[in-house]
Amino acid sequence: MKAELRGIKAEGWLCRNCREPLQPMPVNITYMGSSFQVELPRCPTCGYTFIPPDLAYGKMLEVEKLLEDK
Amino acid sequence: MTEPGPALSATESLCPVCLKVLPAEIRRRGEEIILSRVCPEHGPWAEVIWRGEPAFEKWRRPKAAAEGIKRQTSHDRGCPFDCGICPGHAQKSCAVLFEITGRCNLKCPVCFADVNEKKAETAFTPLPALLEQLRWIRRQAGAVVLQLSGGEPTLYPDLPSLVREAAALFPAVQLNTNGLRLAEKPALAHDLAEAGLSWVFLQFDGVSDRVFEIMRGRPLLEKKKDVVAACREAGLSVVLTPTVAAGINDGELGELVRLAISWAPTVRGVHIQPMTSSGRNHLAGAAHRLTLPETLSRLQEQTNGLVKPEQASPPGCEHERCSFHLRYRLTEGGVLAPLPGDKGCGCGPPDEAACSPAETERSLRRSIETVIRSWRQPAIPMAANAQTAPDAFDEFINKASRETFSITAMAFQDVWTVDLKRLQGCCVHVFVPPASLIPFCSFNLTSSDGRPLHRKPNDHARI
Repeated sequence: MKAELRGIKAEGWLCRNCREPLQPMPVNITYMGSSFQVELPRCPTCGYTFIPPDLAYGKMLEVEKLLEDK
Repeated sequence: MTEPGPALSATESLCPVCLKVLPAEIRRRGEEIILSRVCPEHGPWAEVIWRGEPAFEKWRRPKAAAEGIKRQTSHDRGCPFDCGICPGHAQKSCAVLFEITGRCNLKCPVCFADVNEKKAETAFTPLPALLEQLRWIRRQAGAVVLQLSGGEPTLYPDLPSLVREAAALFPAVQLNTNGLRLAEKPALAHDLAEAGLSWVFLQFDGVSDRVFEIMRGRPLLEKKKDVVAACREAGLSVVLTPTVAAGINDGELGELVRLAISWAPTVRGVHIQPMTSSGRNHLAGAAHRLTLPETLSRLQEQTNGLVKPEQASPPGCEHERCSFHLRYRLTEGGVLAPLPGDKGCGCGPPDEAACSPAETERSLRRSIETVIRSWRQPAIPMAANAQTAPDAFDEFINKASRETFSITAMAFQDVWTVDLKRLQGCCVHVFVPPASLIPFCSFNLTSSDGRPLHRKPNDHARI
């Protein structure tokens, strides 16, 4: 399984609290009892993870809708 | 017999004999909820509409009347005589039935559409005329789920062309079928899949030929299995749709769910329709009536508790007492893990004001989307870009979409159970040429001696 997410770059982003540049790091995502690992921009000091709007309103919303009720 | 308690609510119903509109009351009588009314000419009538748990009083999902409904009739004799969509109707369409032929290759003892020999000789409506009607439905009802129905729609000579045109107009196209033609001619399943059919709603009443012989007049189990195989081969998803009558096939529901699960992801769910006494139904009667909570109880008993009534939710689109839905994720070994149910719309407690019209609209749209996601063939996720390899999210979406499974039920009304408030909240409408949409239960309702309220002898696909 490819861990890298298309089009999501860590370059250019700073952690607001630590002032550290974000780095692409593996992040475990758990939803409905299933876990999978993806690479997302993350602060190496505090672990804060940046979820870009494209991901939040794209695939993450798709997952939520898939598993939501009517 | 236990005396009925005080009225829980007031509504209107019909006299089963003369179809006169009567004031009606809903009352508790022990474990049962009854709908009672008195016709000055034909006497008192009381019919059980709810029996057991979840308790009637707690099963609530009130809705405000939708705004912006396109209506085809004006006020004249009042509900239910003014159908098409009349000024008193409170909900838009989420699904429209398009009866494309009156012909059928079965003569089911329980047919609500009352297909008969005369209809079997009816000429097919030419494709251009059907396409014109399709466009009218799209303009009038909007982006709804289109159900191709009949009669038996697979008898229509150029069904793939019709499906292709329909798929370009509607977000989903469903085929309501007994499946016999697909079993005999698997290439038709391929042609329909290629034309863009979304899923097959397959009449599938039980797991024994005894049930098919009683309900459909013929042993059909092996044919039905062939249909599922043909659809799997063609890449079409299937929803098993049993008509269920107490004392006839309600004892096979659990086994049917297990069979459906064994065929996932081709089979995406089971959609249960408790039998009504409309049309040509020789098995009708109170003894065979199965209410929604009883359907849930049967499922619980027959699946060793895999299905739990408390997991079921009332609908966000149609009237609260017209259906329930359960959505699951299939895990290892065919175990059903319930998906988190929504908590309604967040509007106040049930006894307070209903939702806003805006929330009614949102719920209707969400309901259409959920139905489509639940029943269509799991495919490449919408967010994926075909130009590049799938990432972990794409793979999760694809896997999860294959693992969802639904158990739903819709309780249609007949002349014994009809509640005009429910009718006015209906979102499943039948297209009736030349230009009207009629709530499904109103269209199919017949008096106790078989006199139809709306359906005319040749209401299938008139030109």
